[in-house]
Amino acid sequence: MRTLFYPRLAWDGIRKNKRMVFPYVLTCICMISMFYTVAYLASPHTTELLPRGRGTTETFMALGCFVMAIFSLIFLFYTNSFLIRRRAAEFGLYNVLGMGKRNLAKIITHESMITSGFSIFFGIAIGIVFSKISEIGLISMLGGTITYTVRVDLFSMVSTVIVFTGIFGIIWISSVIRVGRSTAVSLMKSDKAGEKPPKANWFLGLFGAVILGGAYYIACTLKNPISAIMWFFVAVVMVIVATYLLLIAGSVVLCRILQKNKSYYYKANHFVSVSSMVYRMKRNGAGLASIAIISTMVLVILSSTTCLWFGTQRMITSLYPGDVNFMINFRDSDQLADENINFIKEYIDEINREENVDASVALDIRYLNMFGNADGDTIDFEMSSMDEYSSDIIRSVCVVSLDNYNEQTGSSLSLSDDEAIIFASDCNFNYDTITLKCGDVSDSFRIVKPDTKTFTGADFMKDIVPLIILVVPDFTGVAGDFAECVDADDYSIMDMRWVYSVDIATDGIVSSEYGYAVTEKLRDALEDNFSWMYFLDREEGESEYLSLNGSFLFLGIMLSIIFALAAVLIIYYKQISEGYEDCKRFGVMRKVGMTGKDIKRSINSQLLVVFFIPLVFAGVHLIFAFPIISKLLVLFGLYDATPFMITTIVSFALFALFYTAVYKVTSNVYYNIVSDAK
Amino acid sequence: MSLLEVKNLKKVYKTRFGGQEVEALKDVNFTVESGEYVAIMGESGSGKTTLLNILAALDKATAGKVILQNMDLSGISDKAVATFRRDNLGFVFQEFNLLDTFTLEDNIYLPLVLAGNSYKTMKGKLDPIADKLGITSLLKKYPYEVSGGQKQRAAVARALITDPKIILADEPTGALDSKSSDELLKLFGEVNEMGQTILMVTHSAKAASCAGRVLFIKDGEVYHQIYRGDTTNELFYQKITETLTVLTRGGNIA
Ligand SMILES: Nc1ncnc2c1ncn2[C@@H]1O[C@H](COP(=O)(O)OP(=O)(O)OP(=O)(O)O)[C@@H](O)[C@H]1O
Ligand SMILES: [Mg+2]
Repeated sequence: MRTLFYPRLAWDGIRKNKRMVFPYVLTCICMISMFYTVAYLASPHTTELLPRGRGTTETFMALGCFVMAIFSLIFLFYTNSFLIRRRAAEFGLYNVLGMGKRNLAKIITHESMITSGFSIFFGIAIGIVFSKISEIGLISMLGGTITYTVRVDLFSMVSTVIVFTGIFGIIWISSVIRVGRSTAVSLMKSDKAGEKPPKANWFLGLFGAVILGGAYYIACTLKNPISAIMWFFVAVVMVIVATYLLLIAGSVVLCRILQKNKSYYYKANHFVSVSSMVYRMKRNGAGLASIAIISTMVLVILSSTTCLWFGTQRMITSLYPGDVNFMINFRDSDQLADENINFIKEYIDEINREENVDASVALDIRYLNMFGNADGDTIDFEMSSMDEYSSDIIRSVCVVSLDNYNEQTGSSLSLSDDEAIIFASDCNFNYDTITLKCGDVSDSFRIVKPDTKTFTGADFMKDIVPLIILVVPDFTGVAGDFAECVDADDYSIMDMRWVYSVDIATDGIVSSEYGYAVTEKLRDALEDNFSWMYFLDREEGESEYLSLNGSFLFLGIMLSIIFALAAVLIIYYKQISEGYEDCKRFGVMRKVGMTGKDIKRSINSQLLVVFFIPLVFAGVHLIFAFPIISKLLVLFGLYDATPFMITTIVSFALFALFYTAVYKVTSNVYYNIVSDAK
Repeated sequence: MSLLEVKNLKKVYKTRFGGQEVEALKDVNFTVESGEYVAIMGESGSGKTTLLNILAALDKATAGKVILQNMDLSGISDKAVATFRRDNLGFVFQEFNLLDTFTLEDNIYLPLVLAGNSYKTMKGKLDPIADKLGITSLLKKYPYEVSGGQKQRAAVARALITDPKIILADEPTGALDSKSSDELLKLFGEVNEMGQTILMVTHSAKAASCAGRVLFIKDGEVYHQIYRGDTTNELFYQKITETLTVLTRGGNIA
């Protein structure tokens, strides 16, 4: 009997405060199910389904889990600290009635055990449902067979339990310490007293600003998001922490400013709202920060995955210029000479005639590809001198002949021997000259402005490494100058590539069979003159990219929905908990002469002050995340940043609408609670 | 013409699940003249709070009329009722009903802010009142930082600041110790002397003895009333206690 005393008290406490505890537990459950779902999606079992990009997806999801754990810790910690404040009065009473601090700690412990056990159990249960839905959606996107057996990922489950037990443990300890350190009287008054501003508010604010600045700096200077993936996530965590610090400190400052401004403060529609903002200034800041962070997550995920999806066609046309695309890498630069290429083309034409295939040339580009280190206007191909860690300066250089360029783009430029056209992506190459160098060999060119901004048709040359395309009149000269030196270098290699794309007009030809037949014949004909050869079939690539990007889109939408739900919950939690707190207050105010209209106006006033802040923060975060995400998208084959810009703006607009709607609806909930007050 | 007229007031509470009805007020009639100080007494459950709530337009009567300065309260629309309350009535509650979110000063301003007054006008009105109530030094404090008596004085200031036609007080001394009660009653006396009409519900004969007239309510009706006339507080107090004993015994009053 005695042993059940504390659990029973704890259970009673929860039941009596269910209006406060219920939204908290709901939030916990939501966080846990989110975590489990993302962990599940990060597990090899799921990523195995993807045709490509497994490793990247896995890493990102796993690190995403980590970010979510940090976020859950901060968010739940804050939510709980306000809950404990409300409960303190009750604990104070127990204390007065003769219960020691030890006994109070026991009650808190039992309460924590009940709420966290409950949350973890239901969180995982709901997470299992979510993860199954995601899996079904993913498989149907990828065109696989759907099974309806529910799989529980043990690893994800165990990590969820461990992470959240840890979080609840920290929350529990802090509650015990908090109650242990206060006197009975201060406990009993603690739900009456307003929040005090943090001791070193300006310092917190400054600290937040510095962290945010650091995070933005990292985001803007990261060259290669894959090799620096840890840094990327460090930046994400820094942004989360900084957002909390800044918004809490900022909310305190804002409250002070508003309250000091007498002609603003003493207005019927501001009076009540400002005073209740002051009353819970820290909580307000924390709530806004949580919303800002979740909004940012939703926006990043949504804009990047929709962009991938909408960019799929573009990706396909740039990666697969023709129906069938032959890629041949020769051993010797002489092989790229017109006579040889024309000879091979003749040979392919002959095959076409024999097989009755009507094929037209879509693209025909010959180029040299070398990697080198940039130093000012000089690119040095001697890679053995390369410092491995300064990957910032590495460049991929592709050299194309002027004739080939004119032929493919339909322009009619002419260059003298010491002139060259440059297309430099991802790096500003603002020099008048460019020098290629390897050992003792060096070639310099004066740079001539190209007639177009981009070299259409050359998209497949792109790489994560910044690319420089050089169009020179004396192609064979350059090839001859560097081939020997570059190949002599252990780390470097010169690729001599021919890309030959054809469109097939004849019906009934299976492009992959055609490509296969042609490569087989070419292999025989070319004997030992090439190092590798393959063909890319657009149809196959198309379906692969569609399903891959489709599954990313699906994952993105799934995660966005989950996060958006969390945002809704946070806002809902805020309105409900504040509603119940303010309920009595509004009752008094109505007795003193506040009308329903006054209540509405004061709610709107508060809405206007705080409503935009999370959106603004999310917007700024997004702007600084933009460069790093566009670099990531390159990895997935999306080279143009414009579509990403568009999807970002559209996602932002849609999210702002959604957010407004949620806020409106939940502020009605708040209104209903407080206007029911007697 | 009386300031307040209550005619055949009746209030029946219907319990939520139908069935039982509670007749809190049966047939209440009385008038209050401008400048009067009236106390209402009666046993617990006799309908005092109910009466006060109806007078304050916080609740609706089942039948009967409440007329404040030629205005029928039942004729006021739901929308206008809050404004009416703000402009005409002042309240003092047993539980003070100050708001935790405001300093005492802001608590006192609340009705004026809702009425759209500027800070300067409000400050001009507050200063003399705060001075008289002796809470000037406490104005910047929050309710949880001051004593019960101080809270109640702030509540009185909030009731006075709108310059109401009538102050309605429901057991204002109920949560105070005797010293604070005495101070509050003294304050009410002073305010009344300056012409403020006060209607106060109380359990305490001592509190009632400060008033000019005492109404006794029993079984939902005004059972009896006594005037102070020229008697002292002590004598009036005796009269009240005598009436109360008769009242509880259920006999007739001579
Ligand atoms: N909302 C209600 N619903 C039903 N019955 C009610 C309601 N409010 C009051 N009553 C009943 O009406 C009667 C009068 O209640 P009222 O609160 O007016 O008494 P009172 O004189 O103020 O008592 P006290 O001195 O204890 O404050 C009581 O019998 C009470 O139970
Ligand atoms: Mg009462």
